[in-house]
Amino acid sequence: MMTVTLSPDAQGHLDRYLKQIQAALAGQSSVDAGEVERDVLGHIDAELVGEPEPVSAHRLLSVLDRLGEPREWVAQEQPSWQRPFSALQARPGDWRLAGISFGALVLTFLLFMGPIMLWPLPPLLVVVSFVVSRITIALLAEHGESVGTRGWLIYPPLIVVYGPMLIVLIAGPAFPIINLLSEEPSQTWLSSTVGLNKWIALPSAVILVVGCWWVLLGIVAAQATGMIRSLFRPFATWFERRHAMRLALTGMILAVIAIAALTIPRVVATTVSAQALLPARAVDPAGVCRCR
Amino acid sequence: MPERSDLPQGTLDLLILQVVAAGPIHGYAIAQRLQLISRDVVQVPQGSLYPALHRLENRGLLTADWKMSDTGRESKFYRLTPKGRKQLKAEAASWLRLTEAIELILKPSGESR
Repeated sequence: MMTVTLSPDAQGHLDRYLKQIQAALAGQSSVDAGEVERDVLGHIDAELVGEPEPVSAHRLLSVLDRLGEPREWVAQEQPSWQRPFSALQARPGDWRLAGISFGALVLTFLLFMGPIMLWPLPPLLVVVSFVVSRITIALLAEHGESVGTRGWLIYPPLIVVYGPMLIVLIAGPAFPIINLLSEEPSQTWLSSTVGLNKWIALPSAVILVVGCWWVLLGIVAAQATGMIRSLFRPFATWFERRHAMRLALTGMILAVIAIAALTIPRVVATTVSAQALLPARAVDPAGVCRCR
Repeated sequence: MPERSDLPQGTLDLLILQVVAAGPIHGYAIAQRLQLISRDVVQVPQGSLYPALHRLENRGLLTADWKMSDTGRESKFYRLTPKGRKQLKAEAASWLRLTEAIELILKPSGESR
């Protein structure tokens, strides 16, 4: 509670400062932002008591300057869910978390191969091993440690998840399209629509769809390189905008090739048949005239 | 004017415990005391004191009561708990060991100059 009166300018500065305190302390479980705010107000009040009132903004700012930036008051607290993991990665060269991650993956394979699968334990264990691997990498980076030979234990759970993810991302709509075109009515419809043999029409249609998908994926990835790096951490640290643009360009080339494959044979066939019919048309009318 | 240095990370808690060990004291007085003792050599943003006090209180190293201060305002007076006293002893000993070790490392290079 302030006992001194502030000028309107000073009051504005104080209000902004209190908002900064609230923002800086939000999410800090070890401190109560409201109590800190009350303490800081008491501190400011004690500093300004005896000053001519209303206290000027200049005088208040000198006090706030000594108090410092609220965001610098507290060290970034580790999220509560990360603390138990930190305890297992406390020492440099600690292998415990890496061991847990790899152990969960091995257990998954044992369950898959064994007589009792204990469903849904295997997929849950895959998720656990993946999450623990990601946390281990994050903690190692935080401690400034390299993964080193622990990679043999940390990377396999990541590859098990990233591999299928990457395939789905790259193939995109190819799988549903192939699935759709594997049925006879769809094949017939496509062949008759484009007027081509199904062995040309089907692959061309799939390549066209994949090409368009890569163009889209490349454009999106170029705008979100940070997200891609984070999604496939630590394997995509090299990923940059130019790689995304290359993907988009490759997609464009594939789409052009597919469009060419779908249209050129038809255009060629039409031109050839038109040329074959031309002499007959020129002769026929004269013949008709002679008959009459 | 002395050259000012930032307070090494983690040492603010130790300084607070040391100041509070002398007897019940409120936050503003701790800030003044720290400034006085450090003779303006160590730069401590005074505001950082308050979250640190709350943190120490939550950890059970300090306990606090609201009382009237000399200026007639109600203030929170902090006292060291037995756990806080033990922590201060351990941290102070650890700090002294560390500074001695650093001094030992730095001394030979200083003498060779």
